[in-house]
Amino acid sequence: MTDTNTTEGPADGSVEVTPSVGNHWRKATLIGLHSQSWHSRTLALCVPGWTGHLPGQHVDVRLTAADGYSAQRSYSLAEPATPDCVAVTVDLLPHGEVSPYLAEIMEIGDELDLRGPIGGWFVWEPGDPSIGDGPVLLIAGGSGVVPLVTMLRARKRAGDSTPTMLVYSLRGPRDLMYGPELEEMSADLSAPGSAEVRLIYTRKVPDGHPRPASHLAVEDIQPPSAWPEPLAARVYVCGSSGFVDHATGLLRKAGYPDDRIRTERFGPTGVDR
Amino acid sequence: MTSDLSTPAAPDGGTESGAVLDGNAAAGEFAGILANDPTTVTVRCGSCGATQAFGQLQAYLGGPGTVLRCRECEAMVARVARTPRGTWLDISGSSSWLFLPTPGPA
Repeated sequence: MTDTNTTEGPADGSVEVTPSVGNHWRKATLIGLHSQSWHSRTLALCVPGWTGHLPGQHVDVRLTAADGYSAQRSYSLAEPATPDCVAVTVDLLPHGEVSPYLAEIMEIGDELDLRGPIGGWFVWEPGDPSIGDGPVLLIAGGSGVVPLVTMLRARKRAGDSTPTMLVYSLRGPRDLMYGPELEEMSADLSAPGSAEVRLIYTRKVPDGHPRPASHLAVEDIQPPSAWPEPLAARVYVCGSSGFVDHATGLLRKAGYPDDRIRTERFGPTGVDR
Repeated sequence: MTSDLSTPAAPDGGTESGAVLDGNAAAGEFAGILANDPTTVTVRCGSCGATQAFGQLQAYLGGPGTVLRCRECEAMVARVARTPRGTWLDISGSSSWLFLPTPGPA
């Protein structure tokens, strides 16, 4: 089961997307919850008038206490565009100020403030002519997998066959997000919308996993041999600042030019007022 | 200086303890001020002359304002602060902002 069960739009997936920079706050109501890993969950939110977004974009979420104190964080959109609905997947930061509420406390029917979609740079859209038909390499550290899975879902929905690989670095099996969906997506690489998925466990591997636990290494990002021009790939990296620095270092070592690499960093910092 | 922005976020100010993020995370603050999506803008650092996408700038979000620094030389290139008097935008650390000829996808 995947969280698409709670947040998916019409079965045909056809959505008129007219994204714009959303710079005003809107009320959003929680309408669905789905657990992703032991410390993360996906929240489906109803946002009347939501005009769509692109895979990779994010929203700012604002919580306001009764005394007026408010805290604001950015979360990647976890689903391709669906009318009046967005989803975010929130990873619990143990000493966080916002994520404990979103990941553990917020209940169906509760409201928060949201603005977006934000960002047109860290996006990948199936069929975008500016990207061409070169392969797409997605590299995720931890919950950085969220926008990349949104890209994979949009690609699958569009029936796009651009060669695509996800390299997903995570600590251990219980940190795995979207596990069943990624397994299904990579089971038959000849199926439409399928993608090669490499799980890079850094601390603890599940039984039977061939690769021992270690940090992401240059051989982990080696493209599949079937890719004709691997260095022409467009590369998306999302993770903590440390992970992004590490991964971009490996990519440079492997010969990827900087202008093919797009990165997005997340972390515990946010805007508090 | 007439700016209310008196507290530069790290590295020189050292008043900010959170992780360094990037311009993507600061885009919401700037989207409220600029007419365009900021993340696709190419910004030239006024100190070292390096150009980089707004989305790649270092972002310091935890302080009183949002501060963006050059990824090459760490000089401050832009900052925004919301105060009771209004919203301050300071781009004096940058020498140019190149907006794409056609609006980006967002």
